[in-house]
Amino acid sequence: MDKILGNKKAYFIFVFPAFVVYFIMAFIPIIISGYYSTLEWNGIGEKVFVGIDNFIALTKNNAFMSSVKNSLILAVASIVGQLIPAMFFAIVLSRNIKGEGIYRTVYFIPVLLSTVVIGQLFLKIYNADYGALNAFFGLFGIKGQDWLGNTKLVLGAAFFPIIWQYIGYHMLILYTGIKGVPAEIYEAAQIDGANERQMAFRITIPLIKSTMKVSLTFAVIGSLKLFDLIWVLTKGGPLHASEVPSTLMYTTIFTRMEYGSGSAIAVFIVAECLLFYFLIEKFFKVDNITY
Amino acid sequence: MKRTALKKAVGLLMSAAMVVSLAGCGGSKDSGSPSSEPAQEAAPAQESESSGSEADAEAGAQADAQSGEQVTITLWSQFSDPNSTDGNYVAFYNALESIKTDMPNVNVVHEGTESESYKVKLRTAMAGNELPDVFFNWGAGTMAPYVEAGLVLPLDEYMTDEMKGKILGGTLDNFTFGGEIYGYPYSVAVASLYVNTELFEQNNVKVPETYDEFLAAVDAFKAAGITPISLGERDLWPGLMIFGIHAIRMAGAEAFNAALNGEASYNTPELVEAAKLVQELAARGGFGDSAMGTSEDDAVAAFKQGRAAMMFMGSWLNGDCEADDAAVKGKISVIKFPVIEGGKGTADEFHGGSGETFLVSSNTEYPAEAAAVAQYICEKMSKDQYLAGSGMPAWEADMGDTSELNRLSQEIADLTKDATGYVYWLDSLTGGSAADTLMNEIANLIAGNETPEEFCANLQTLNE
Repeated sequence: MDKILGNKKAYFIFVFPAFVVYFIMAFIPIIISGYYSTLEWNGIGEKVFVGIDNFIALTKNNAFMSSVKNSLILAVASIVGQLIPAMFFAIVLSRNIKGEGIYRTVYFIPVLLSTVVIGQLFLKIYNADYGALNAFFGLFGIKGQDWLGNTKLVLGAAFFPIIWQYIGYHMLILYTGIKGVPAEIYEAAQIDGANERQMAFRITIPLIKSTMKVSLTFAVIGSLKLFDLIWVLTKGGPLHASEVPSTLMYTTIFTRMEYGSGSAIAVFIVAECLLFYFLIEKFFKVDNITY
Repeated sequence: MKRTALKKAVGLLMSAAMVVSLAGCGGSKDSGSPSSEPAQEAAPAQESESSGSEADAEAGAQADAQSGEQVTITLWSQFSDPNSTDGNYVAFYNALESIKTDMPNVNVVHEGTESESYKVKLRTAMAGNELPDVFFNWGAGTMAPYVEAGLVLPLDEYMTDEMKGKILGGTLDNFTFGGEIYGYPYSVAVASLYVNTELFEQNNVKVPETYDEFLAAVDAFKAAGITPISLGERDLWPGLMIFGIHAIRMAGAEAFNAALNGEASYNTPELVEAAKLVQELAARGGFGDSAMGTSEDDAVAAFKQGRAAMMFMGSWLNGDCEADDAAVKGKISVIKFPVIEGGKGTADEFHGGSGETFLVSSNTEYPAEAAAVAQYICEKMSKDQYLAGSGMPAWEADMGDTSELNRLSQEIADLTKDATGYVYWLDSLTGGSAADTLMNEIANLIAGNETPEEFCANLQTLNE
């Protein structure tokens, strides 16, 4: 084994084919997008090189600015709304409670459902005329709302299913992390008289920091590049009130036929995600724990 | 030291991997159908890559049998579902079937893709120079970039005098660029005001003949708790039609067309007044409480179920209103949108026109055959889509027995027989970013976010 690991050629042979595929499928499109972002181009006609004009124009584009703001709000909401409940469920489930497997499955079901299915489901729930939500409020005599048509309510209404859907996903990641903590540590703690709350805050959470970092990264990056549920629910509307950068990128390219400007948004999303990735890396330092 | 550098590099790769899926797949995630093409919204959103597969297979076998003079023409369309009851679909598949016997030397291989995916697919094929011989497309602004890029073939030399005589006047306008004709028409779709006569009678409201009566009807239905006008503004393009008809009535078709084509300003008192009327109509609850969050599908459903009193929509709504599952079957009437007092437009100016066609790629190996296929399909569809209750015909033809014809189609044929002017659907007419700007401006207008003066000034930026 040492012989193989010490052999640089072996590394190369094993890694290279995957790297080539990865490079062609992932990096070349990014590089091409970067090139397109410097053009004024409708997709079929003449390409005009405009340098960074597309990026300058974005800073003056209200729809783009509000889309960035919305995605940052979603990132914060995801951290609070997904990771905290997910951590709670994970800790509870990992304590060998009755029906652990069933609960684990039930919480994970939303993750397995197709986003479009969830989108259609919530479209029906939010519908102003026959939706379940307004019918529920109607029982108490409260006037219903046009949840997805009101610029003040749409953001919350659209973000709720997005956050709800992935709680189970983060729960499973954290649960796996917790299950990796050796049982002896808990036994020792119990012998010392620690209660469940103390064990959770003094043992579990400190020991699964690296798993938490994975969850945090997924939650933040996932929020920044979100597309599907927003597209199904609102298409970024009404009046860009629920716009996120990727929905705006889609309409810019395929409705407005502005390939240059749309590619500039794509480049921005990549850069933004990388930035947040590195910020998390920097401020969430984790020591490697070996038991 | 070296190791950390490697680790960092790997870290960079891995982090990029998470980000990348977006750049890679952003385009293909289209799961809704943000249609900016009114005519196609009613079509079932079902994608089937090669829907005429049975027909294709048959045609393929035929070609093998009598090879030699056989010519294979590839055809793309947005008619993806052979089982659809939409009039245009029915007519298209009729034509696809009969072309086998009528043009035996041509083997047509059809590929249908659902409307929204179709647009993206077409753009991709154009960028890669892989266009089929013949393909469905919308006219005017949507088609202009293809003509400019030289991707489509002018058809003038394939037009006989006989054909010119049969094609109805004005229907070629949206396919003519620089005096050359690039496509043949197959339908004339017209928007009119659909009124639910049962609701009007039950609530003692007069079917409007003037704009004042129209507003009175709006107020009466609002007071009765019925949505006055069903509008699916979530999809943005339905709002265009409301503003479109107001602008036609206020400024007249000719002046409005001039503004849309960039030959005149949007900053005219008439267009400002039209914008003002639309905004006031929205403010007095003309579109109900939830138009901004309602999709076109839901708006049509509300009208079909008798939950809304009026709808201003294109003639493709005929089929829905007369469908067996429609609660309003037999209770709907179509009328001309009322004339607005003080406006320059007349009641005989209409919103709509002929704007869908089949284009021939300039790279086709068999231009004559491809043009003949495009002509055959357009001429055949013109008659069949009319008989199926979709739009008005664009070609003169012996219609035979029309007693089975959709009642509303007949009413619209009567309404439009003295038409003096048309303004085509604003989004197809302008195309691309201009269409998107128009749609968003009108949504802002309806939501009351800008004054009519600001609205017209913002539109004028499109002409500068």
